[in-house]
Amino acid sequence: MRAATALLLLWAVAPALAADDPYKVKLLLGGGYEVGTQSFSQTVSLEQFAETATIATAYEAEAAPGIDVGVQFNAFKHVGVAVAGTLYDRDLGGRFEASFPHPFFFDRNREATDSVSGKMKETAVHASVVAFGHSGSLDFSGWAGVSFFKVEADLLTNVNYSHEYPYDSVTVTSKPVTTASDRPIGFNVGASLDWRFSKSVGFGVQGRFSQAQAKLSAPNAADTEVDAGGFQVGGGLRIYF
Amino acid sequence: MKDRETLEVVMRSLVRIGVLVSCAAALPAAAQVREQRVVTGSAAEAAAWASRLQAMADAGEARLTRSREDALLPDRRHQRFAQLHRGVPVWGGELVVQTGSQGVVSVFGTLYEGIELDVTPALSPEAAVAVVRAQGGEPFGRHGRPELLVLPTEGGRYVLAYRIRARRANFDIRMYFVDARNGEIALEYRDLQTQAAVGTGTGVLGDRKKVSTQPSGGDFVAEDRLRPPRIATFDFHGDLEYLFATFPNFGARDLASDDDNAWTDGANVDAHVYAGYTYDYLFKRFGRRGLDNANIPIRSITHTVNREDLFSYPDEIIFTFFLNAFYAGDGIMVYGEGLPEGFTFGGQTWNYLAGSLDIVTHELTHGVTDYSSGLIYQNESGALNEAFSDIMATGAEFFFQAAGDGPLRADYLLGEDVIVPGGIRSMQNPRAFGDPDHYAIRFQGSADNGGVHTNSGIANHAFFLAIEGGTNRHSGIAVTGVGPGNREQIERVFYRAFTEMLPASANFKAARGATIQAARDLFGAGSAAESAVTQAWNAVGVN
Repeated sequence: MRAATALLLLWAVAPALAADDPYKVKLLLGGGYEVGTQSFSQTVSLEQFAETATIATAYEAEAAPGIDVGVQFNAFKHVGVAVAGTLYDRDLGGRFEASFPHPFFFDRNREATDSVSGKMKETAVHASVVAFGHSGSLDFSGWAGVSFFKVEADLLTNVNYSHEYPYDSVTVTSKPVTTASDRPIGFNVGASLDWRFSKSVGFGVQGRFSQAQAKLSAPNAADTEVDAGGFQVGGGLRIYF
Repeated sequence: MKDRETLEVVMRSLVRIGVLVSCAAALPAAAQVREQRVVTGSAAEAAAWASRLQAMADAGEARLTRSREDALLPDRRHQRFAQLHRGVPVWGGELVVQTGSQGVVSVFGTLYEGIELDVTPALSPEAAVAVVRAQGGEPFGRHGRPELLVLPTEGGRYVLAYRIRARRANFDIRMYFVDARNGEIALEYRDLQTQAAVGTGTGVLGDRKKVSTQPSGGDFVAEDRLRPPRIATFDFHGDLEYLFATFPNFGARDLASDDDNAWTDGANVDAHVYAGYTYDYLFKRFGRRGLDNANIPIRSITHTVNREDLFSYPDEIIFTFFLNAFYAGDGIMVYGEGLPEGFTFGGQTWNYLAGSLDIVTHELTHGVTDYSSGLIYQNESGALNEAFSDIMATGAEFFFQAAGDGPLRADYLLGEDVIVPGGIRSMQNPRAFGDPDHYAIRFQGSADNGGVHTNSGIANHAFFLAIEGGTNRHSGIAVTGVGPGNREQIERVFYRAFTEMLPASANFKAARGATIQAARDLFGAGSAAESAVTQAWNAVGVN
């Protein structure tokens, strides 16, 4: 109740403070939500019993919350630069369909299918040019720039199985993964709307679209192409200097 | 990792002050199996991992289990570290560090992360052994003693478990992991360790197939360790005197071999591969474990003579080691060399006799008979002995090959793939080879042990009619067979009768009675199988 009262008071005095007191630096501390799922596929190929075993996996990274922090420097009246950092740690699920050669016969593969799970982590630094303005206690801005990603994902390297004579079927015993990573460069565009309720403190919401194409390398598999980024919505604290 | 940690500190602080509650879900979940494969690509990486490993060892999370000098490089040493969780080994968690005079050279291995497990077992080691015994396993050897460890499971969680190696019936060696909390089997796998290799081979007819072999001294030898019995093929390189001198005590030095596991000697390939196929057929169709139903080793012998020496041998050698294949007892088969190109016998060319699946199965089935009914190899019981080998041989062909005419096709001819044209017998039309298809016209002389290879045509034809149906030429009696799609029924009827029910001195009448009874046992009185078998024996004059 006390906090709500304080917020109301801040809202009441905010318009005058914001309009008359332009800032040079804005810190953004908050979180976001990476909207939508990310799908990609991978095929592992291994030599087994004088033939090639294949393990085709379809992955899907779930939408996830994350961290979004940044700083904006206002170089001119309506133009500035910003650097933001984001971290999204997404659950990565998937399902593989494996085909293992028979030890005794050509073209008589044993099939196995199962789920896989892991993580897909995207860390990004977004460097942008920002255009901004304000109306009363509301700041609005739009930006575009380059994004530097680090993408890490748990990818299958093999599927271990047990089999017994007559070897007509297999039982999956383990699904070893490796954490593959890449550092692609892409772009980002976005916009934010901030409500500045005191000289140095505000709250904002934002939307950002970023994208880059990562190539993840895992043993026994061709490079797996993964779209990094996506549409993120978020918000958080704004601190003005 | 550093940036992640920093961000998490910031995030936790924000959560604490109530700003970022929705972001709490981004924190990592606990206790899920996280496998990290370590493969260092540079000295710097290796040094970093070695440093981390040292920290783990200092913290009691790793333990040096072995340290050995490199046998090939004098300044190198290899150290193995087992991963520990609260003093308990993590199964599969191990790092191998190679060091040299310049420091750490490489680090390879696997580490498991995120283990949050109480290592106090609720189950005693004795109770874990009891669980294994209840599974039919008897602990033995070094790993027979229960060892407590952390098991990363396929289900993605860590389990405190006892590992116990145990032997079940038929030398079925298994590794058990008994959950130390509730006594359930957390993991079990077959642990009969072999060094089996699978190569490729080109058969007598030029067909490509897989060959189960063993690495040996830089080469590969024709020894199959993937199937339950030892199946081995011995190449005598045309040295018949050596065979006579060593039989049956030939050994590993006589195994057929190949330097690159891409086998090109068709006789060796087919003798070895088809012996395995025959084992497979007996197992899959009838649940039989080899010739004696107890996985007696199967040994095949090839190239006892050289084709070019044909005319230097007396007739009995030619008819035994060139134009014949035979079962020599105790799981040993000998396959004839055939004739040199351009030579014929009986108007037919003779290729390596091992090159025909039905010949291989025929000979091995003599071993089955040897260990089951023991049908005496003369007169009617001998003809039944031969017929049973033909029946199983044809069954194996249809099991592995597509029906049709020509090489590598399943049909009712015997030996047709390597004795061209036509093979040596026909179950569909025995008379085409001068064999009887009716009891009334059976051979009654003394030659060929009383016509064992001749009168087999009577039972062979009954088998054919019971499956395919048709009319016997001699009696004119028509038979309604079960149809090719149900051939398994008739195969099982004959197998059951000939291995379980017939006495050694059985005659055709006994074979009729036993097969009809077997049909009733398996498929019921009045079944199509019983009817077909009864009609078939009627048609061939065995009443």
